[in-house]
Amino acid sequence: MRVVGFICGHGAEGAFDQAGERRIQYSPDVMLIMMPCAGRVDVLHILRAFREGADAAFVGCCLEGNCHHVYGNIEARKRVEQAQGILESVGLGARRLEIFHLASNQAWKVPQLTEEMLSRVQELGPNPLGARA
Amino acid sequence: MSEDRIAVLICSWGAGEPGAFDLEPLRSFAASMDGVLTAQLIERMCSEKGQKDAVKGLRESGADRFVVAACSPKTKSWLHRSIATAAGLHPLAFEVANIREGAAYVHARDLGPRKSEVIIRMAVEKVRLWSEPPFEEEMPACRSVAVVGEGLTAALAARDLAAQGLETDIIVPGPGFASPSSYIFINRAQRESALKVMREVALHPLVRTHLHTKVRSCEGRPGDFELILEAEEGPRALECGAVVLAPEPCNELRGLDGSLAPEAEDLISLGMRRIVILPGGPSSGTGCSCMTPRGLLYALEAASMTPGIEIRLLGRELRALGSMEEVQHGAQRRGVRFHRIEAEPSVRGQGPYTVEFHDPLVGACSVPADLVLVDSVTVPRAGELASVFRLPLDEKGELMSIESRLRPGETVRRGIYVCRYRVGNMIYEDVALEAGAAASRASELLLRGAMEIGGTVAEVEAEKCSVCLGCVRLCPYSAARIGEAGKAVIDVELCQGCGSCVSLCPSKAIDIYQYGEAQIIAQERAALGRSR
Repeated sequence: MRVVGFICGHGAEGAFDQAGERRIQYSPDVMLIMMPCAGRVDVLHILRAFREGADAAFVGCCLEGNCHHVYGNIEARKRVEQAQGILESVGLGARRLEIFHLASNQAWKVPQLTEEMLSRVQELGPNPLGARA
Repeated sequence: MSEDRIAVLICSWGAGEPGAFDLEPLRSFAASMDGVLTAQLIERMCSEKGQKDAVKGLRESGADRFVVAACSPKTKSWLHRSIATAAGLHPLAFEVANIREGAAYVHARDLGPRKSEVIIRMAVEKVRLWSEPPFEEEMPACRSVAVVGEGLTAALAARDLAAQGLETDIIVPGPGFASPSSYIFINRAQRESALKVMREVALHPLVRTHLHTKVRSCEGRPGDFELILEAEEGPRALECGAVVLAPEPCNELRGLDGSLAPEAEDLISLGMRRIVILPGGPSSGTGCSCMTPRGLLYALEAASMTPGIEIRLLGRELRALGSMEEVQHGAQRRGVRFHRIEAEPSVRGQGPYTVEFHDPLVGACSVPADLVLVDSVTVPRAGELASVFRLPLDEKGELMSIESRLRPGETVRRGIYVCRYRVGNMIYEDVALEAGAAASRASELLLRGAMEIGGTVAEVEAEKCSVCLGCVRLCPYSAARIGEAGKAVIDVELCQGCGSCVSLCPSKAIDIYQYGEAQIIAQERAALGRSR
């Protein structure tokens, strides 16, 4: 299983860092890509991840109304919704993609959200594009 | 073989405590990657010796960029910058592979090394595509601060700035400082210390006060602003390095018809025995806010003067911090009731009223009231300041600060700081904290010596720009504009590198340094085990 997480450099990266400091374990199938802000995440990045064989992807960003860059997380939500629509229409399923809002002190959310994505992959099966070498 | 010249430095503490897992296989893995000239284990890179070893390693290898495999970039990036500079490289020519918080600490012992390999590969692929960003370190041209405000908050900020040796100009629109009556002082000592601050500021040799003066415009860049002041004797310019906005807030209890709340002692003679205090805030949506100290004090006063009076405070939460805790206990002991509400309550009738709300603890409530008061904090001049300083307002009509916890006092324009009032912040001690935060941010900018400009910034490729204005509308920092050539331009001095415009741009005309489009795709491919 391969899950790609696009992590904003503030709330979400802080939460994942804190999960590390507190030794909160989560699956090594989750690969994180750091972004300066969730607003940097493009629909194309998300679709690219699926094309390269990711079974699921998520965007981690600050809590709504608490974005370090004012409204990057709102932009990210719009783009995630757009990408979800595309994933649904090409038959991969919108549920392979999710957006999570994390404050930098919410390390406890990290194992929850990674488990959520892994269980969705189990439910939906592997990404059929993943087999393509 | 590629012609890249990349070095990989692995900190011996990168995997946590030494020996958490064997770093030698990781080192040889990194060394085997295409374009990697050298991969070295560095004994504790944040120590002085570690830094020297790192610099030596970089110099000897002839690398022009490097990857640090260590702890989170949040902790030691400033150190890696100085290592890069000492090795004669660009201070941003590196990438951090967080193998500690990202792998060693969060995965089982046997899985950590494998994950670390992927993280290092992602960092190498990213740094391979690194290109030199516009980046300079500049001295602030002007070591003085303008404080715009008319009362205690401005005085508190000015005192803190002057204490740091910065020349401070207080710009007061009115004929003099407002009396500090709208603040909440818990005791006499606080009131006296506030008055002392105002006297101190009036006499301080570094503080100049400009009365009857307004700011008409603010141009320039952080460290070198030019304000145009409008005074009685005509317009004039003021140079300053930073600006602190300290508008005087107004915290009042008002009835539904807008009249001021009656004195607590008059309630009985007015025949008002059932009182509901609602939180202020936007009247639409679910934006119901907190119960404020003003309402709490009023409730306590009324309840202690008139036994049997029925007072309810409604709000999303109750913030009674510090000395307000005692006030809250007192009010509670005297029978004041607090209701948590998550949605806006509805008020019916013309007095007596019926207030309907949902309290998650007791369910739906319908409460009769003789008097309904609204407790609100407003900043009267916020709109004017926002247009002069080109700052956005938030949903409550207050000047927006970016992030109250991580970047207190900062506005979207670097160099312009704001003392912000949230509901509940009218207590003297809180106001002093807000003023202190804004003042310390301003002095940090001006006293650090050099200011950085550039780094993670977006850039427009003019040929591709279709002038759709998307970036101009989106940019939270007003850094994007249409330049003289008729194409979008992003101002390096204003850009804060969030990258929102890059992903928005329909023509893909914008890219950002440090998080470039190609870099992210390379990272994705590396993360998913695809070759370059």
